[in-house]
Amino acid sequence: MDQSRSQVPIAGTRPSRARALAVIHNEYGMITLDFIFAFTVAISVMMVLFAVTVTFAMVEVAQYVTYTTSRAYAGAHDTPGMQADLGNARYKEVMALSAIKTFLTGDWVAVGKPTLQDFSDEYPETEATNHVFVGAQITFNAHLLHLNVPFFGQTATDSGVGQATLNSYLMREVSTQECRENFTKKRFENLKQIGPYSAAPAAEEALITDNGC
Amino acid sequence: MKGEAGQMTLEAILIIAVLLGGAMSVAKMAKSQHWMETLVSGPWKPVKAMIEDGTWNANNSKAYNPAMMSRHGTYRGDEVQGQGEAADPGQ
Repeated sequence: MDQSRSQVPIAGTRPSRARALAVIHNEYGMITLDFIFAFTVAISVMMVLFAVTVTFAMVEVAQYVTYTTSRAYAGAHDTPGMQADLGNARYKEVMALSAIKTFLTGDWVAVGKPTLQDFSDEYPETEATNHVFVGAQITFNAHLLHLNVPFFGQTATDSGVGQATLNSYLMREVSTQECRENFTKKRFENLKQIGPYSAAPAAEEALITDNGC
Repeated sequence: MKGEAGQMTLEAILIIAVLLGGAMSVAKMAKSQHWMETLVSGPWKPVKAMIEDGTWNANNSKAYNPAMMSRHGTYRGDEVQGQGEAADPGQ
């Protein structure tokens, strides 16, 4: 504000009255008041829109994390537990990246640990052969959406707002253990039921997989 | 009485008082009617359904998950756009 203009005495008035009139005469700052009010309202709405758009962007990033975890889990290995270890290792690897770690483990957005299993029970698929819901689920929570906007109040009172469960179902390759136990071993047992399978004594029979598992 | 200095300021004070009162009323209404909650929390259910299952149908979103057998493919083509504009099969 221009101090020199605001304190200019008006000719023909007493000094005290001149000072009072100078204050009333001063119209500087009116637009500032309007601006402060408008700025507060505008910035509040912008803040809400920013929170929503950032949430959508973070959902995309978190969905990639879920997908890549499920992809690592889908690869073949010795046992189902080791396949899950691969998925969890991939999740830790991705979440350790600085860009992802900054956004997905902060106060704005948080994602949970991955759950790797068959989720068919959660879906209304009646045919057992159609159960293809094997993969990864990761919880997503956008704390960012819970704002208290000046003048307008809270954006969310329900704690469920901002929460979702991301999923990626890419199935899982059969593990070596499952292949031996559920296919090769049973096949061998059934072959033995047909008749004498070998000249060797039954006690010396052993299951040998031909690299098919 | 001849001095008009400050008249604008006094009027501005009155205008500010009226506007401030109006703004406070709007703010009170916004809080009581949950405007911000309607803006953010209201659409969250269909948005959540889209995030989780790829559908805006929030009531039964899991039935529309792309991994469901019914969503694997479709034998239905696009709807004909206007009966009178259908292509002549002889052409």
